[in-house]
Amino acid sequence: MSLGGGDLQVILRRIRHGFIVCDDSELCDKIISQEVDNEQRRRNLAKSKGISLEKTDLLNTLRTEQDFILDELSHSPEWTTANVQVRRVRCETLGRLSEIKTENEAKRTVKIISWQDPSTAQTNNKHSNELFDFENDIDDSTSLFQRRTEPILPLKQPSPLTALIQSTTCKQNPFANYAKFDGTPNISSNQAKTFTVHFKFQKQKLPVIVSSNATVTETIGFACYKYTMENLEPILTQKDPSKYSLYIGDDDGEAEEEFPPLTNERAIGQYDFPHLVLIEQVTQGKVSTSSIPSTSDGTYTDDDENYNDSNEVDDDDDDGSFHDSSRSITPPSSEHRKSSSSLGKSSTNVIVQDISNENDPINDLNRLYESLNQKSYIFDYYLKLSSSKNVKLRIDVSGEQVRLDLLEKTSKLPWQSMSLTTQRLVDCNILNKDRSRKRDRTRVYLVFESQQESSGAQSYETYELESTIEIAEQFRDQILNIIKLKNPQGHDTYEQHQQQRENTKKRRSFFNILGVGNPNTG
Amino acid sequence: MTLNSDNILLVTAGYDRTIRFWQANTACVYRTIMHEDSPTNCLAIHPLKTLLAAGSYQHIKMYDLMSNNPNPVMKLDQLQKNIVTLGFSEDKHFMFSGGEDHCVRIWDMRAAKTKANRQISVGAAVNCVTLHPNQAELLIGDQDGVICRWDMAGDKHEKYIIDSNNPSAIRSISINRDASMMAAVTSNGDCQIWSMTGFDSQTHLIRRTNFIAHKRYGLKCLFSPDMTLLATTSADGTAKIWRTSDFACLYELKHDRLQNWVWDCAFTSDSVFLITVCSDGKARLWSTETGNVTKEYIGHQKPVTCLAFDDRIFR
Repeated sequence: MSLGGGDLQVILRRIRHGFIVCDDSELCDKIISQEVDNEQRRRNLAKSKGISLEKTDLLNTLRTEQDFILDELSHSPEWTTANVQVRRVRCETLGRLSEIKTENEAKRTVKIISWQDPSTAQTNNKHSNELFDFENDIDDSTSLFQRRTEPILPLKQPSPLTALIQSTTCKQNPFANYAKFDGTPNISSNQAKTFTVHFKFQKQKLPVIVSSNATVTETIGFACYKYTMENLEPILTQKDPSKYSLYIGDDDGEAEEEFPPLTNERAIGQYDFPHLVLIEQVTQGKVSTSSIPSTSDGTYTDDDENYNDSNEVDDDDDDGSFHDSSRSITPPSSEHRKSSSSLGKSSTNVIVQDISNENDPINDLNRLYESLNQKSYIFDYYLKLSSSKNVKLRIDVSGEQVRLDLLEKTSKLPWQSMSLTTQRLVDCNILNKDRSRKRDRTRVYLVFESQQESSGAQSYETYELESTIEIAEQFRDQILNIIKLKNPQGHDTYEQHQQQRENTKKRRSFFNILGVGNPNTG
Repeated sequence: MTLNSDNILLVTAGYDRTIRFWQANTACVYRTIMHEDSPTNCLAIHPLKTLLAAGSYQHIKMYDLMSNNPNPVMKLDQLQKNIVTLGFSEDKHFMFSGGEDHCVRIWDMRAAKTKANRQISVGAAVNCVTLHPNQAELLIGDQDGVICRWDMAGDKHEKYIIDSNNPSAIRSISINRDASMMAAVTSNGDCQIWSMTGFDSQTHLIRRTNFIAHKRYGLKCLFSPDMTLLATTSADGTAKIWRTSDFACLYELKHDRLQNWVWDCAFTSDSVFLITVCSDGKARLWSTETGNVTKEYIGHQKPVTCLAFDDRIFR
């Protein structure tokens, strides 16, 4: 035992007075149970020596008085392996090892039968020809193959499946397309996430195992699928996973509403929370939860109708079947999703724009707050304004900061990644499309305030980026929304600044024309 | 008849290395087996519904259908290449398997321990093996387009070449319940119909007709249990239901506009429904009376290539 650095008394004292958490070998237990005997013995010894135990420090006495030392040592607990029961609590590794052992034993119960070519009597069969090399065995085959000689009737047995399907008005699960994100088969390969989903309005909870590569929307779909499958009450009101959001929850299933909901396009594998709360989106008045769900695919919207259609089997139109099956909702393939998430190319903005046409103030607000959710964009970044040298750059935009990460190494720039606070964002605009040479790509200018100059005048830093028009427009929308929320004054100041510069430029160019014109005439 | 789903077994497998058991009436998965070594090529259910045989690369695994044991109870190995087709005899005395190693094998299953019984080899990779309803002959279709008949029970264990002039591979063979007709589909979508001599001691086949069933590979053909229908599936993303009286196409079951392959199919015992499995990861239940999808079985993450279905009721 290495408890007291060799001092026997200290060791014993530690064991006696220590707070023993774990005593696998029960050694400490035995020492403590000896305490009563020890106490008695010491008192007797003290009495014979005439030492009053009340007046002296026992520990000191035990160390200094020769008789006590001898006594203690002669009665020190001495244990052999025989009288110490080794009954250890098994540690994790041991538990796992024994699991593996049982698994292997289960595998060993698999009967392995190897094909052994039957003993071949290579009698030259007259009927055999070159194509076949015929193998024959002298086995009692008579009972193995019993030739049926009387014909069997056509089978017209009622099928229990038909009866079941006709008897039940089976409701189609509107989330059936999300069933494939079940993570149960992936558990062994660590490609699955396990957590509890609390359905807030339904006051139900459900353990969910989902495959890691599913996006958050797909996870919601799968949770809803399970919910419907288990026939939990009350039934879900929405048939579209994008009408729900997943929030981080605590153990009691209360949503941590100060955190935004999980980003719909992100893979669920990137999150690691044991409890998630599914909340149906209420667009009215619940602005503080700061999000409307981003519908990632427009085709989702009318799935209930689809399902009603495909339920009506009696449709006698032949083509109807094709129509139904192909029209039924299919979540976009995961490949498509992946690309969309990495590029931040969610169609949120498209939908948001549709809504904004209606000029609903709540939707407008929602749309503003939605922009605070983090998204990523890939751009080409031009090292100098209007130069041709560019590098690939990823920009993660959230309500708090704009983070630029270079995806290529370059010696031209002093930074590899850089974060800028959104408080300094002032403007983002897209180069007029007519002026860009490439049809599908466009340049985007992102403007930040830099440090205040000594004169007190603002100076601005502009980043020139290039991407597809679609990404650029989404990016601009998000940035402008963030500016509206975070730095409206800065934007106004910048606009004024630009106006002034524009004016001076005009004046200059006006002089230039004059200046150039003069020599010609002269 | 009490209504429950216990008698219905619907099992599918494919490239995602799982074998899934479906509740056929609700379309939910009630059991998943990880079949990790390789994708499953073929499935077969033991006539007593006690065992499921799954053929894959170099081995056949047998799973217990009576328990939830995730491990196979039996593994037949020392085989070469892919096992592509499997089947049991109705009297459950033997199982047959065919594979890319040109061999068709018979496994004796009468004793507690399955053992190798006999094998025959043909000129090319075996694509399909079908048991004649007389339970004593196998019809084998191979990659070279040869169909041959193997008389297992006869004293001489003869095999006969039925047809060796096919320009393309035989993908699937089906025989009518009363052994009056045999159908075969080929890689170029041709469907060939043969007349058979039923349960006579001497089986003869006479070529009757052929028609282009699909424009791309044919993958599977199957007569319905009531013998009025023939289903063919194809790589063109459709399955077709043909009337056996005149081989008119009754329904074209379109699966997807993406031309996913429809690999396998099975009829319910009353021939009212046809189940197909498709490369889009779904299995579908079609009504043969209307040609419409009644149910979709969604859950596989990759193409589904084979299914096994059994809804017989034991009395």
